[in-house]
Amino acid sequence: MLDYDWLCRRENPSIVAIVHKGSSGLHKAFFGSSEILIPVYDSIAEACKNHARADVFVSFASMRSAFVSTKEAILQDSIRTVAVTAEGMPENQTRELIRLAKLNNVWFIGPATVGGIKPGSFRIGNTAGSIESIVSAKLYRPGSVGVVTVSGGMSLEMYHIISQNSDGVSEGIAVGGDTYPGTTLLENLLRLHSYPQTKMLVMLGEIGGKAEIEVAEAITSGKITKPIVAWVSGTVASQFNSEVQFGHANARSGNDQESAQAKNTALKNAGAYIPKSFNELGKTINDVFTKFVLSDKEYKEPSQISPQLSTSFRRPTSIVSSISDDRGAEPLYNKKEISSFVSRSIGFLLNQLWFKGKLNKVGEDFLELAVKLMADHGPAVATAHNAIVTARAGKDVIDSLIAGLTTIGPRHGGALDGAAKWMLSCDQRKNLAS
Amino acid sequence: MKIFFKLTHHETDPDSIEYGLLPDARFKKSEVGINISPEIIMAQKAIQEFSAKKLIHQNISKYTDHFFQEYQGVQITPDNVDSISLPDFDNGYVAKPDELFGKRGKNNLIFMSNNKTEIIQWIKQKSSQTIKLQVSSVRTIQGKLFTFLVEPKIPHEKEFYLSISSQRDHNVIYFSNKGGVDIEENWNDTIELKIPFTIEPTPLPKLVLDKISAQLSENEKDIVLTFIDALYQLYCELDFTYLEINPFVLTDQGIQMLDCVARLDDTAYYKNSLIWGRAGITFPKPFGGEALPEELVVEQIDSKSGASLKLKVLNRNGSIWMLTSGGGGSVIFADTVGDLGFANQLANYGEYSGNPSTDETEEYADIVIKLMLNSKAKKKVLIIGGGIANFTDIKKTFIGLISAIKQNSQQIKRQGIVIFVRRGGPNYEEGLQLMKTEMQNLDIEAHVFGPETYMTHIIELAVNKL
Repeated sequence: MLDYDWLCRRENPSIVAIVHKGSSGLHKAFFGSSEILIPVYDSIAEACKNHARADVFVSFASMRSAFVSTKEAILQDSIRTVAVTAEGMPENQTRELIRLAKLNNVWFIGPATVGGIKPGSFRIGNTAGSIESIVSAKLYRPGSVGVVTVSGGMSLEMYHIISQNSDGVSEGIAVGGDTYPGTTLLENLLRLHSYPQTKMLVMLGEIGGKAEIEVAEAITSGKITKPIVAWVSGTVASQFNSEVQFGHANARSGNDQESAQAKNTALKNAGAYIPKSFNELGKTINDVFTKFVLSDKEYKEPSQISPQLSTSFRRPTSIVSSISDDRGAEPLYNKKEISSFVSRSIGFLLNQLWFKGKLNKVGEDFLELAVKLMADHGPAVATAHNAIVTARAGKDVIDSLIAGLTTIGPRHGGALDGAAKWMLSCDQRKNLAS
Repeated sequence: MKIFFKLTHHETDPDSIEYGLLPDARFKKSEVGINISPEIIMAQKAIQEFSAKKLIHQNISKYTDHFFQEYQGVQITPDNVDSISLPDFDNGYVAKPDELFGKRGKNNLIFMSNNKTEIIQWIKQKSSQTIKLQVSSVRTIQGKLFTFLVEPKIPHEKEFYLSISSQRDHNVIYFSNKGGVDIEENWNDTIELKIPFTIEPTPLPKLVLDKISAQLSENEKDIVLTFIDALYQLYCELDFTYLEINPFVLTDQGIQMLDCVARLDDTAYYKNSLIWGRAGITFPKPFGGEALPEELVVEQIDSKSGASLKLKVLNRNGSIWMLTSGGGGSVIFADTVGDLGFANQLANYGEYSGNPSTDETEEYADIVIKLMLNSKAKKKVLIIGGGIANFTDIKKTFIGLISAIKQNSQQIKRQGIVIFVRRGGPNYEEGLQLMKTEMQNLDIEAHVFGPETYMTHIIELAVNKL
């Protein structure tokens, strides 16, 4: 997702926070060739509290945990869209999420889909695959065609076909093939239809279910007025004799009205542009684009920005400082001016530096006590201390060892030498006396 | 909104005790056929009448104290047909196949007797024959019967109809006090009730109960309303997606369900495994859907893999063999074969997707290629097709495909089979180049294309070779 952001020349990464229970802290990731730190939170509520401007929640949770986390996300005030990739979510759980999403005015994409892409802005997860395929399907900048597919696997192929036969995709959504997609083909088409940058629509449906019939009805009733090219796959199913039948989760009833042919015919009768077969879908898109979009006097070509490819070598850093910051006029410790520490206890200072202020007063007092007990170099181990400081400064093993060894002298680590010398001297004096 | 499959398809047999089954409700295309879009998880699955009734009997007491006696049905399979001793039933026995299809009366597949030996003999006789089922005016299915159900015959008068089904934001109940074989004729007397969906089992709203109550006589009210209310909550709790009881009847022993059709959401297995397991829930293959050995092997690979691998042979002697990938994409390749008028030459439908390993792909491809080599068609083509993958590694899967081709290269060459390839996705350039080079080395005619070529163009090229 970050690579996509960089490719589109987004100024800031789209991901502001990660929720990963038990792994709170920071996640290091590349944005272009530089590294950024993304905060990781234990809970969705905490993440939303700290990033109230983020309004999209993308769930990569497994099938069993997706329900609870998605529900929590839907109930956050700041979240307006959730996308769920998990496959195999029980239907009743999906229905409950649909109910809650409606109630809370949240847009719900998924489950069981790669998600969607808004060229130039954002992509969900793995949508549209590798950077190479994104570049070849021109998905780094917005075009004029809104696309909604059932199949996530076919979405990239569709974007590619559209990029070759029009000015490209304005937004693409794969609703997923479950019996109850979070938002339907029609709901997504109507949303894309409402955006001025959408000049035409493309839909790829599948055999079974009534979702495509709803779209046909929306065209008939005038809810969809922009030109729409549609194709419902699965036409081969009806070409077999009684021994073989095709069908899937949405093709429950075996109803003739839900066959691919019937739905293509219904869409055609409603006024959608339907090719003779998938083989001619590209050509139909091209025809409709030329006839309705290009011919519009107010049509503007999409801006010809080029994708920003990350060519420089990515080298991960070994040490990250999320505490000290010396970029401003006054250096900061954990986002506080260094001068503000003058009047505070050592325990408070260490709490800010080592634990980012997470300790309570007891903890601070304990740190303070530890420092007092270890303050003199005598009981403390000067060699190890120096070696550690040197290592933390990023030096290698040899440098660190040398730094440690240089502390060995008459007052530290030199005791044995000293004792030996004294004993030798005693011995010599005894000899002299006798 | 009428939810199912017009009742006009419903043929009843007044001479039998076939109680107004809705044939289409039992015989879904999806249950008979193959899953052409494996991205879509086959969530709704039919269960046997025996286990559906057991599931209800075992669990309904959670929602009602009404007397609802233990289920007396006996399941008979080839495993126990010789050893079983049927319990004593006062009024005799009813035997019928339990294979997820309806119209059993119509097809002469219901047998009643007072004699246990006769019942077992009838079952043995029926399971030794190949049965031809007329499932609609245009459609017959052949196969063997394996599973039977024997129940006590229950004398009764009035028959009730009840069905519950799921929609996006509500559940629907259909109820009639004129159930049984005449449900079709009496459909206008059936009441339709919509209940808003809740994820927690919730008692039926008073309004709904009142409407059902209006259909009942005073002495029926209490027990029938309690039953429906309890059943509805059970439906929600145990992840049913469809439940039809036609009919249920009132006897001295309480409510008796004479016939029952049910589907469960199999993705909810993990949360119901104990309760479903206790009732012996399985998701058997539909009647006549016996798979070829090759298909079973693929099924096994599929069940062990995180990826998806599917195979259905349509025509053993077909010319066009498919090694296509992606749930949506593979359907479109098959569609295009049909759209170009070559459906009768299409040998198989299948797909691999979800980034299968090299080994899995090789095993899968080897099975398809061996089937192809055994086809008696004079000219054959192999389609290695796919859309532009989001994350399936093309190089990795192609290495598997190539080694399967290599293993069979002598015969592929001898039979003059031509290979057509079109694919895109991660590492596709290396994958395609590898395919080209290897096919040249093996001296096999192969036409290899990437994303720059329209996806289904290879189908046009391929059918020209036939």
